[in-house]
Amino acid sequence: MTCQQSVGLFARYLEGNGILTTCVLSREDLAEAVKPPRTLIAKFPYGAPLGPPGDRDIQLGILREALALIDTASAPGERQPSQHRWHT
Amino acid sequence: MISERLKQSQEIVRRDFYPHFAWIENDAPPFQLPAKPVAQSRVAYITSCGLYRRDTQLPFDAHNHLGDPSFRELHSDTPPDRLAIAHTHYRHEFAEQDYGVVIPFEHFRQLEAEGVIGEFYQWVYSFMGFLPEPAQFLRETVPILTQRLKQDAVDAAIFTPC
Repeated sequence: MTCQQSVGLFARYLEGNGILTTCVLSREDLAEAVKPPRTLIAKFPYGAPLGPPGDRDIQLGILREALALIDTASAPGERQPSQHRWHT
Repeated sequence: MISERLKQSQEIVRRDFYPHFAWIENDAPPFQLPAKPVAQSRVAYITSCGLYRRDTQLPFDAHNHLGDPSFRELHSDTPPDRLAIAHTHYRHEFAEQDYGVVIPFEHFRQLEAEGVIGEFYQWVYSFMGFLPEPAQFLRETVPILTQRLKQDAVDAAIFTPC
């Protein structure tokens, strides 16, 4: 779980230096504590942040959602739930 | 305020790895509005999943209880069979089935071809995100990588943890 904190801390520093960021996190409570600039909440298991292995459509979908947040977020710390769900 | 679930995990990390561990609770984050759309932006991908090149790079020190604050750079042309994982705090079974779940080189090339992004930055920066004491990482690694990204005119970055 400290992975999620680590990327959030890095993203805050990067954003403060003028590079826009989105973090793809699975834990809303960690996003609330660390407060990255933008967060896509994708409730996938640890070890698969972009979705199920072999499902390229979901993996691409997560990236599309994360990239769209760069364009659309209007407030610091914005969090958006992903539309994609885990399957086996 | 941190959740009860986070408090429980904090106690586990203190007991098993680092007695001074505490989740960081931040105030409002830095925030920039985009100067140009993502479709015209150079986009980087940064991951804390502990990936490295097995043929040319040393693995992260995954068994260190304080973590390993170093980083590895992976070129976007790296064949997946040259990748390996040094990270002992998550199950590797998903990545071993499909590296696309942690390092989506082909996906970003597709998004670039579709015009969703302007350009995929050629370097993926990888680190090992188990960092119960992140001070050295924040003091050394993060500024170095930020400087590289700025020098290379990167506009935006997507982060994934594991």
